[in-house]
Amino acid sequence: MNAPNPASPATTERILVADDNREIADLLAELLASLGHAVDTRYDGAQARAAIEAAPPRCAILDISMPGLDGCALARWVRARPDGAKIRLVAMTGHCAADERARILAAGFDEVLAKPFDLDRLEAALCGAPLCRSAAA
Amino acid sequence: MSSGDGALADATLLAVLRRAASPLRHDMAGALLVPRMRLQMLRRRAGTGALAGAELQAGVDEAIAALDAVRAAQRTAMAWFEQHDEHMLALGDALAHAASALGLAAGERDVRIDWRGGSASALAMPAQPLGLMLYAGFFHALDHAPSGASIVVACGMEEIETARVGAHGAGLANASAAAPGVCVAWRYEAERAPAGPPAEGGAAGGDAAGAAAIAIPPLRAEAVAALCARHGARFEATAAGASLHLEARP
Repeated sequence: MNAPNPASPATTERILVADDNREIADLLAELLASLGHAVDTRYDGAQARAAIEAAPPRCAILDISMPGLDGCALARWVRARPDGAKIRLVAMTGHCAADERARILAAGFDEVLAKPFDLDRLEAALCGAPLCRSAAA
Repeated sequence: MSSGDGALADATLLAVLRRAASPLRHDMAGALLVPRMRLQMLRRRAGTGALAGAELQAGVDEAIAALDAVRAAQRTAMAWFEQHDEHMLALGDALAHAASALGLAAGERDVRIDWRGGSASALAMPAQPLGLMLYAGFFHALDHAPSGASIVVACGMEEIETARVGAHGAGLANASAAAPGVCVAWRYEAERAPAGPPAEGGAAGGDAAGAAAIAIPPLRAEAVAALCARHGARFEATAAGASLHLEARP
């Protein structure tokens, strides 16, 4: 789990990062923390679901292919929650064919980041989220 | 192998390669993300002028290490496409890799892959036929496991009956011997509750997933068996799962 970087622009909004590839999850968390976000890191879908149940984040960046509970199943679970529409869901995936992207969006994601993505692309995906709009205001 | 079996094996080979492309692309994309992110972070820090020489060197070293990991991932993911039998893969690594790569395909069908390991995990086998047969076995399991099931995958040592071969390679009629073998098993466990709320239309993956599943013809057991027989292995399937029996070469 990563704490927010105190030297960065303040934001109290939390981002959940979940990827079974620990290196990717940790690196992404480090990057987001350096941008001033509070980041919660999880390494599989079940952990991510528990984290959302305990404290719903404003944004969740979820890998699609995770053991146990994959990203699409997790997105459907989030959207079925009463507060599910408030959480911005961003998918990370190496499955980037058009039909795969459509399937991921149909599961409830707001945005799909095709790996390997640029930091600019990541920031643009996050900027659709209330946390970015409020930070910029 | 008859010409009919050969044609079936060829058709299965093409079907497996076609279906394997997406998960392999996924793995490579994931592997590329790490060095790309590291280099981009380094570039940003360099752009602020806040990067000391030692930090720059450490950052470059991290990026090089990440690229080495990409090379290793490429080798594991792609080597079995090559036609060089001398490249060997550990059975456990190959199974773990396939189980991970096919996670999304499993999710589409509302099944879960549960790779349990096994006593034969460390056994090294020629990468190309091994990869083909394992992917064929996984695709068969994905096509035939009941919705909501877990596909429990394990591997272990066994003794298999093989045709006894004479000193000069001549087979001895009606003779067989027990030889060390390996069994890879896919077992369907249906007691798991579906992972998420049912989507409209019944399928957990929704309409798009359902359409994708319908578009791919299910891989038949006899088709997988023909492909495996070409490589000296035996594939068997029942309603409860399937198994692949390989000879363990010293």
